[in-house]
Amino acid sequence: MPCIWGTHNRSQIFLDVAIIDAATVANVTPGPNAPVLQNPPLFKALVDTGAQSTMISPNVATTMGLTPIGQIPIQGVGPSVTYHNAYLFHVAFVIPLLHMGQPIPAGGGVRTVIFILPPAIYGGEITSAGGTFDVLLGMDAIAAGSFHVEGNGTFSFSF
Amino acid sequence: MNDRQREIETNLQFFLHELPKLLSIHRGKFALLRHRKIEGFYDTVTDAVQTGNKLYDDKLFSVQQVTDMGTDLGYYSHAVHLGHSQ
Repeated sequence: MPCIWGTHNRSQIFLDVAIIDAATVANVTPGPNAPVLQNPPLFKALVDTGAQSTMISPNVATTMGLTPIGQIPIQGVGPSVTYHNAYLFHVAFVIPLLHMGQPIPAGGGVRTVIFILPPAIYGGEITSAGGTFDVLLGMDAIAAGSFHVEGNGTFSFSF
Repeated sequence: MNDRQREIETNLQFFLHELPKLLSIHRGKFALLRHRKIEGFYDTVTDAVQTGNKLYDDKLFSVQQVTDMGTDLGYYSHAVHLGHSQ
C-alpha cells in the first residue's frame, strides 16, 4: 500500500500531486516504460476535508491538455450556484526512489515512481485564492485512502 | 470559444431547462448530451464519457449530472468569488 508522508504547518496541509487525464490512464498499461506517465508536472495541492470534490486551476487544465466533459455546479454563498468546466482525471503522487544516505545528483536525475489514486475524479475548474495552489484536494480523493494528521507536524496518506 | 466548449455550454442551457422534469426519475445519474438532446443516462460519469467517446468521433458531446445540489467546497465556497451564476 503506497504511503505519502509530509509536514504540515498546523494550519494547512499542502502536498505535490500530478493530475493525469483519465483517458490516458485507461489507455496505458502500468509499468516502468509507460511513456506518457513519466515525469508528469507536479502541482501544489491544498488538502481540504471540507470540499466534497477535487478541483483544479485553469493552469492545470491547460498544462495537462485536459478536455472538459461538461459543467459542474459549485455551491456558493447562500443559494447561489455557479457552473464550472468539469474534467475526468486521476490524482497521482510522484515519489523519488531514495534510500538513507544516498546523494541526490545535481540537476535531478533521481528515479521516481508514480502512484495513481485509483478512482477517477470528476472535478471542476476553479481559480485558487491568490494563486497559492493549483489543486484543491477534496474528499472524493482523500476518502480513497487513509489520511492521518499528527500532532508532531507530520501527515501521512496511504491508499 | 472552440466547438467543444460551445457544445458544452449550449447543452448545459438545454439541460438546466429540462432538469426539473429529470430529477424525479434520474436523480444522481449522468446524462450524455449531444446537440441539445439527451442521448442516455448512465450510473457513472466514466460510463457516460466512454460512451460519448465511442459514439461520436467529433467528440461533440457533454455529460451533466442530474442533480439540483451544488458541490460544496466548504470554506472555499464561502471565501472565494466563484464566477457567474446560471
